[in-house]
Amino acid sequence: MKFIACDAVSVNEIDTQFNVYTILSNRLFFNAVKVERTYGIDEIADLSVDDAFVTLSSENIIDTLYSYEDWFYTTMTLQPSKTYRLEVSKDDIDTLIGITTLPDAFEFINIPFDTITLEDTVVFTRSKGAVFYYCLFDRAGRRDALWLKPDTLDSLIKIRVGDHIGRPPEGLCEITVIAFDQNYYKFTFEPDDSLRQTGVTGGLGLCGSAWQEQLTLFLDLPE
Amino acid sequence: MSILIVLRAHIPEYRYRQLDNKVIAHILKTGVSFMQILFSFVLLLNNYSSISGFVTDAENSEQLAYANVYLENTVLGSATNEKGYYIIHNVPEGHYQIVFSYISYETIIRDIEIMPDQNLTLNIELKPSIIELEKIVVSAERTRFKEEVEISRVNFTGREIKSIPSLLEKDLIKTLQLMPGVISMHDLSNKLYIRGGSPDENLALLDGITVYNPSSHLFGLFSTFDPDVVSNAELYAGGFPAKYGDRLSSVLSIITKEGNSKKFAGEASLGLVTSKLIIEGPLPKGSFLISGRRTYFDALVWAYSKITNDTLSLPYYFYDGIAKINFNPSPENRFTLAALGGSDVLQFEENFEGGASDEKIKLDWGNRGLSLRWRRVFNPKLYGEMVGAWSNFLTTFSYEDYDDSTNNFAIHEEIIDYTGKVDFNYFINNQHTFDIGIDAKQLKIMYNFDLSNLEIAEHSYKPRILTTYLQDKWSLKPDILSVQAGLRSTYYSINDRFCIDPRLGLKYHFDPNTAFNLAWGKYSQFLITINSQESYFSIFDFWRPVDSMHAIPTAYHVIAGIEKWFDDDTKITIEPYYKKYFNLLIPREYGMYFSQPSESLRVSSGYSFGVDFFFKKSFRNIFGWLSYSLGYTRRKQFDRYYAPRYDRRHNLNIVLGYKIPQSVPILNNGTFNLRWYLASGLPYAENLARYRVYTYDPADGLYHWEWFTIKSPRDAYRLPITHRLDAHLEKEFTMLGVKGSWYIDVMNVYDRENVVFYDLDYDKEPPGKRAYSLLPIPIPSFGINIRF
Repeated sequence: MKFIACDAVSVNEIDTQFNVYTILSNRLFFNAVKVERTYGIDEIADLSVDDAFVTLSSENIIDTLYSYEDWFYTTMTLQPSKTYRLEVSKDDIDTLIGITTLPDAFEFINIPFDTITLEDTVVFTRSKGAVFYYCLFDRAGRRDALWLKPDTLDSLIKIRVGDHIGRPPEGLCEITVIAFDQNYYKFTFEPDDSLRQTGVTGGLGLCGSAWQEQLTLFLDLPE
Repeated sequence: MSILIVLRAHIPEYRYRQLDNKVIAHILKTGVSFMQILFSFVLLLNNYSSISGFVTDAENSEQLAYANVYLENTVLGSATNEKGYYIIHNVPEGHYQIVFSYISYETIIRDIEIMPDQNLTLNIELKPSIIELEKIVVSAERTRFKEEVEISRVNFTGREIKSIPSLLEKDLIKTLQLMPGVISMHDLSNKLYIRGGSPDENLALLDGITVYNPSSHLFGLFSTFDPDVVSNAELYAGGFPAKYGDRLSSVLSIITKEGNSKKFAGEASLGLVTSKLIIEGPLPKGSFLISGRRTYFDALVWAYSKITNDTLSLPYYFYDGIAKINFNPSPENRFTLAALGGSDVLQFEENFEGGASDEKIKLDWGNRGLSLRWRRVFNPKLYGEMVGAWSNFLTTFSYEDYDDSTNNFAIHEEIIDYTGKVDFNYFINNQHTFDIGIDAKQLKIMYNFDLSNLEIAEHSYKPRILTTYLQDKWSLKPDILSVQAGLRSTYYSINDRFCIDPRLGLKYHFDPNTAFNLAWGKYSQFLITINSQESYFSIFDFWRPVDSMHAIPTAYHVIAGIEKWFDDDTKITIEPYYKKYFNLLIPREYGMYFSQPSESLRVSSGYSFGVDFFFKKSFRNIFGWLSYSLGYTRRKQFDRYYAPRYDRRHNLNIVLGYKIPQSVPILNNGTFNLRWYLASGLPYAENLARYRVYTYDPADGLYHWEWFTIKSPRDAYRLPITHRLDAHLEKEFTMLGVKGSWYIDVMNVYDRENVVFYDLDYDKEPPGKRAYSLLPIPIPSFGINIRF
């Protein structure tokens, strides 16, 4: 306890930490991981740490990610319900470990290229391990989307088309559903007040995952 | 014996059995029984002569608190209390000259003859003489120094408050911030942090009515107390007596003027922010006083836009007012009915596409109160006051969509306080003075959230707080050693809990001019706030009763002090203190700028200690004081002590006043005051590092980011020292037979930019540290006052 305590300053130093962001998913030919670090207030910030050593592993498979234009990429094919381990390391910075379990695969009950109206319902099975869904209705010139956090007891998830789709145009409608894991949901919607870190240890950021499916239907609108 | 009959008649035996709660009955029975025994004992002792009465202002009949009353060439004397009442005990038979003196009033000397076993009632009116503001406090304090066992108490009259330089308008709270042990968090703060305690630990009373949000005007910049109607303001910064309770740190008791019972009079004033009007006058056997003030800029803007056909508007205004009626059917009885009310209103309407409004948003908040007081002098030794009061603080936030009423919502937060209390002062003899009282409080705290005219959420709390207290001031050795022992016993209805709060005070005179004071006490608080007291800005507090899951917050005070008078105009006090806190309930969230109310609380403890130093001096035309506080404050979280945001190590205030001589042209007989303060910095959490936080948008497949910072521990760093000079110039005038005064204030004379907080300037890379202050330039203000 200082007597003076006028301009007295306790010098606090923060060790540099890695800061990552990734949502591993099945629908991409490659998955990307953003690797950055913390910066002192007086430091100029880079867009990435492109000389870090980054690996992604699952069971017996290890893939070393390559750096390209501020991101690290992997072409590993991801399997549903599998757990993946991200490791980021570099001299002088503590190694970051990220763990995420991909949500399970799910399928649409509706038949592809079937015709639906506003009164119909798009139905798909629940993805185990997913807590949050993003649904996108994409037509020529128009996109409608919704976020969904369904009741945990539902085995089927149903979306009434007319509740979420506006008027014209009719025609082919590509429906994309992305099922996000608990890490993504917590990081995005229920963040901790202090440091932002979910699914990672030894650093900051998000190591999350998602499973994505698509279906194309024909949307028929009444006259 | 008539007293006993009165008491019994009001609480007959059968009532005890009808009451639902046995504890309530127990308290009342105990209190009444005790008073019966006490008064019986006293009546047996009542064999000595005494002189008593009221000292009032001859022009308006306002009571004169702490006037000096003594018998010439004897050691017998007294001071009037805050109600202007005095009593001198144990006066032997004989002929005397009794002297009544009060600075800035003409002294009166009367010849009196005292017979054996006589109780002489002598009421005196003193005429004002030349105003010498600076000496009022010295004289009153000198008298109290001799008479009272009290510590950590400061006193201000309304005139003194108005002579202190301040921002935009005169304000009582800002004046109190100049006192030792009292700090503010920044240049515009209107909250009182007293000896390491937070503002919600302070009890604010206006004519006995509890005011729950006393600093709510103009978004927390001004208090609800208009200094023009303040007769006397008393602050106990700690160690307060058994008469007061339900707060952990301090008591601020404000008495408003009574009204001129001699003639009709009034005062109109115009300041930079408000316009005010006070009207007072006599009534048959009494007096009345009505006062009101309101901001006027919104009215000016409205008038301007009407004239120019513009759509300009200022969506904010505040007002408050007090009305009092006094009725004195006899010299021994006075009835006072007082009402206060006020509100801040922020209201605006939006129209998105021109034309008529689409929506209205309204936020209003304010205090209201009503009290009926009966003051009776039962006999020269027994003085009593009975009060029934209602106090209310209400805030409403509403949104109205003119096109779609399903979007409408409203939030109400309200606290209602019904209080009935009885206080007796019994001047038994020169050795003993008893204070006894009962205080019954029924609270109602409500929160409502309505959406589309449907009630979505509602919380309601109705705790009862019943208190009895008794206190004896015992002069063990007159003029040398006095002890004041008190006990406060409280019943709290939530979980049927009892609190016993003992209080002890001691005064030892080394010589007539030097005294050692000691105070010790336990203090309990039954209401807490659910918004953080560490935020820089807050408009009002959200109150809740301590619930059944938590223990009652408690504090212990130990205060010791030396007070020395070098002459009637010079005194010095040094007061070390220590406070220990238990069971504090503190909101988890402690936003720096504002704090949202939250029911999520954590239990904490803490302590504070320090030394307060005060020096006051008057010499010819100059007066002034210097107050310095050295303080440490700590609270506990997760087994670690930390310094809360209001932990200020050093706080120095210097006030100098100068009475301008007659020989100076134009400004002759005016007053010029300066105030300079210097304070060490408050703790804050420094930004140590930054990192990007990303979010992925599936709609566009893009990644977005924003900067987040990593901060140091909340108390690891200190803001720079702060200091500021303010000036005040005031002059009385007479024009066309009308008396008045004008004043000019300049706040922050040498343009000091005191840092309130830091932020990062992300327009630069790397971001620079940007300092913010609240007074970037010297701020002038002025006002004019006319009396009729």
